[in-house]
Amino acid sequence: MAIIEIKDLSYTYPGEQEPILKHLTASFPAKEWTTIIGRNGSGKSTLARLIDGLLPIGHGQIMVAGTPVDGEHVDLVHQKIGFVFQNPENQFVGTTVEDDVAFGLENHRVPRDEMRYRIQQALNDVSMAEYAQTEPAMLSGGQKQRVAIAGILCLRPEILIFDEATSMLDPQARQNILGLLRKLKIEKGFTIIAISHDPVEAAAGDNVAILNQGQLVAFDRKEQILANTDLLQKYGLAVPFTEKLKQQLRGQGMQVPKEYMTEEQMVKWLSQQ
Amino acid sequence: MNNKVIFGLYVPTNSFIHRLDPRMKFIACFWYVILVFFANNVWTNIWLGLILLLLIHLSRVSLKMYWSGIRPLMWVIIITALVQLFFSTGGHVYWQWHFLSLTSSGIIQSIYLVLRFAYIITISTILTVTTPTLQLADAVESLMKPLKYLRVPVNQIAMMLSIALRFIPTIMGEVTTIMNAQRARGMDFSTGNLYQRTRKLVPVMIPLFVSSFKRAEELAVAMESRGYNPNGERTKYRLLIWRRADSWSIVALVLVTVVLIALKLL
Repeated sequence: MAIIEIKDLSYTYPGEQEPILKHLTASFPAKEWTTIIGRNGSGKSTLARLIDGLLPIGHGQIMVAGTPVDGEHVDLVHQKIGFVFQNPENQFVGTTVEDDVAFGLENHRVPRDEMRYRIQQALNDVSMAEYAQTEPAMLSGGQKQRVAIAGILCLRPEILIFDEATSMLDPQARQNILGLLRKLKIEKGFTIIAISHDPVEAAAGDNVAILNQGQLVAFDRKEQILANTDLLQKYGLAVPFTEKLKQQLRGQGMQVPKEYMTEEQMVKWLSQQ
Repeated sequence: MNNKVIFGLYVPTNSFIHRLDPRMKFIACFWYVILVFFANNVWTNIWLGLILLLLIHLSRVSLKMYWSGIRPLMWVIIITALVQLFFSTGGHVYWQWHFLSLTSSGIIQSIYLVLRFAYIITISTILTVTTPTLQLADAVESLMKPLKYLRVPVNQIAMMLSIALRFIPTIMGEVTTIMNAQRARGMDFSTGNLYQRTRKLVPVMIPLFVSSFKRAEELAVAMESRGYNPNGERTKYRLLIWRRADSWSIVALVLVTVVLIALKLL
């Protein structure tokens, strides 16, 4: 079941000649984690913003969980989609952690008594409850992104969009956030759309879509796409470490499995040889 | 450095005054300043001074903090007092030279003036050392509410105020980063006269403005995605609670005023 349907979508930024998205048609399956990868300027972020109604749709149509994305329904779309941006600093609205989480609830006119409960719950979900009174200046980038996630979780969305949300974090914090997303996806059944230029991050999800020059050039299970080194290289994307290793092993004349393996799976497989 | 800015002069001693409602403190501070201008004799000034000493004692904040509030304005006070001292007329003339004169009323007036300055600065210091900046912003918002009927966009102003407070440490950090980047390119911020030093800030301000506009744009999109509508009605998470102590403080304020008027008429 597709939760997001995109039909013949084109978009040109005001003042630009060349459209950034060209007749893009795609559908994203519900309760699955799809990573959109692509080079800089391939239109990934624009696509994410269009889905959330943050940019006016130029040409084409987007349906989010049965609601058309247009000026009339944009509030409803914002309610269904939780959006986490790249820079942890520039999406922190509140003066303290709990104020920031409360921001979205205040916008949606949630009564105060309910707010307290929902904030507590959301902060527990991202393990930030003990920082409720902390000011943003005291938090690390990873912690700020956790707060941003709490801020959208408490609005009870169906879909979470992460626009390079881990790209400004150190590797440890990135792994923590990806682990948190996996947990949330399983426990709460969210549909996740992550934008990234890093195929390793795509390994955390279920599906991978490749965007190139405003067009969708591949959409498949991650095992298929990440193991397809030719495809990744064709569109200027980094090949995951495990695939590089497999290539070298193959060069040495070793028999290696064709499907994509995570680093742990690779270690396990190697130690069985 | 960042924390100093965001907390202002706030000293968390959790005294009786700290626990009062910021709206009450704001009104009381404002009212006291008005009273200061009514004090025009020895007794009224002593009375206001005693009230101030009581408040300082109740705030459990050291006198040093209050002194550090007055010190930066010392020169302004001294110069204004000197002007008052030598240019006023009336009363017994002790000394005269051309247009300058030292008179008994001039001496008294300048003493009152110094006291007036000291009282006003100290009462506002009491407000800022006992109230976190965030609560002050909430109080201002709450007290501005009636202006809604005059079509003043109170909610938007409050949002602007709160975002400004939240981004002060961020922008301060950014200034440090840009200055370091310019230093690494050979800029020397610590030499030259006032004009030269000011000019050297131009290559700091320009990148700062550029990045602030970028921040503003990103923040606006992030706020929109979380359902912010500047004209829409919003609920409020942070509540100001008016307690009995606040009502009693208002009563005390009325009593102070009554005594002041009585002393004035004496």
